[in-house]
Amino acid sequence: MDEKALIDAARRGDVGSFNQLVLSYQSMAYNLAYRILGDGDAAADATQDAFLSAFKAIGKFRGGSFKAWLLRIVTNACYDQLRLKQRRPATSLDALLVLESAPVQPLTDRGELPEEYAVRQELDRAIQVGIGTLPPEQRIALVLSDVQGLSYREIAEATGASLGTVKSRLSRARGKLRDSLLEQRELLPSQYRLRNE
Amino acid sequence: MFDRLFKSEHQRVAEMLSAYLDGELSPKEQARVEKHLAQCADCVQNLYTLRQTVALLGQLPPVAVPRSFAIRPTPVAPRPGLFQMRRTYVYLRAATAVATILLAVVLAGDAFFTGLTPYLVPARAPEVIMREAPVEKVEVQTVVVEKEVPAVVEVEKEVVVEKKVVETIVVEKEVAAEAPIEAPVVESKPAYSATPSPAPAGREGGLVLTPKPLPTPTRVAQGTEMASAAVTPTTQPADAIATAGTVFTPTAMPTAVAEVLRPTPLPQGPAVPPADRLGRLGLILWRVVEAGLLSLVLVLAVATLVVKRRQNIG
Repeated sequence: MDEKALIDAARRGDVGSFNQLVLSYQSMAYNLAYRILGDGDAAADATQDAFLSAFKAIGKFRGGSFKAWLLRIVTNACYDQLRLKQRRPATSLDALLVLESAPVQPLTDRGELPEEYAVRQELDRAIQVGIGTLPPEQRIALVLSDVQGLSYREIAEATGASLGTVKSRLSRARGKLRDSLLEQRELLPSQYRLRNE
Repeated sequence: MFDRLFKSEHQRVAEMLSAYLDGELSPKEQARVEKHLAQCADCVQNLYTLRQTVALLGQLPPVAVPRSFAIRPTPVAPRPGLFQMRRTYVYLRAATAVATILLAVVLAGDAFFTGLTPYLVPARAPEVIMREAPVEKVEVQTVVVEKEVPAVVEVEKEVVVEKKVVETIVVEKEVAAEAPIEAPVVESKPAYSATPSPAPAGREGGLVLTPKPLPTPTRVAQGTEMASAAVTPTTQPADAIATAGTVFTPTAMPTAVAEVLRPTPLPQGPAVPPADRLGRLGLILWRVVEAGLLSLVLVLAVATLVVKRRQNIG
């Protein structure tokens, strides 16, 4: 069954059809939430909330890109989680990222050596720390663009912002992350260090 | 001047570098950036590090999904029984509230009428009154003596209670006037004697008690005076007050009690009048209603709690 048929069935209240859509999009939704929130548990909560909200609101879906519509719901769920975290700050954001991102297992190549895996983990941590320093709007734009690979237009649709706003948010986010990675340059493995030309 | 223009151009281009990387600039903007890059080493450097950053982000491996996020039908579509249970809960709660209010009203009514029963039922054995009266009187005296003058309101309150007792006794007296005198009810002790005195100002028809062996009754007499004075401003007529004063005093002094109540007879085997019998029947009925309502409230409350718990589990 194609996506449109599944969406139509889901609009008629067919949970099975909706769950097929969930299976198709849950990795994208969870990864987006994980990169925005930097915390596996919060990302899982946001993803589950997003799919529940999506099923409840699927009657209001008026066509267009289902992916962008769903991503918008996921980003809204992430905003809710960020607000929740701000209300109940457990510890500093950096410590939170280091502590809580550890249990999440990145998908690795089967042939990857343990050293390579460790190096990737280090890069992952450094990038996550950098993303954590960004304001939520810039974080979302950066993750949607450079982690999820969405076009400017798709990001505008998913965030409800104009193209110009997406451009400037992304420009600032990349600039700040670059500065953060340059600061952590000595901590990064040599192949991932930012180098001057 | 040229420096400022150059700086502003540098900043603008720096802001466009990100979009330049993605090929999201218009041909005009792209040409402008390339023109600037040809003469600005800083911007070339910025572009290089930005490209590296984007490349690193792109190399991030996707994280594994910890579990399936497939939704279950239960949290979205509520079970049909749940709605009914919610409605049952609402009704049960309302019924419990109504039953509780009814019970409260019935209990209040009970307390009110039971409180009035001694005054509504006229024929009571005089011994009972005789025993009750001094006890209440002693309480009044203690209050008056302890609180002295400032507690006027308290004194008035106590006096009202006494008045009721007094009225009852007066009724007894009237009944007794018709009956033959058999024997004095209370044995008088010769320790005190009550002598009528000319009524002082602010006191009507009271008895001034002259204690022979003990000086304490003076204080009691003061209390009695206060009590009599407090009775005066109420709606009681003057002669009634006089009677009240006369009857009132003896409760403190056994001698006076004997003097006033001497004509009171002991009714031989007092028969329960039909009004009293009806009253008792009503009282029993009332109690039955109370017990029934209490059981109803308990049953409803338990049922409400059970339904609520089930609803929460569901």
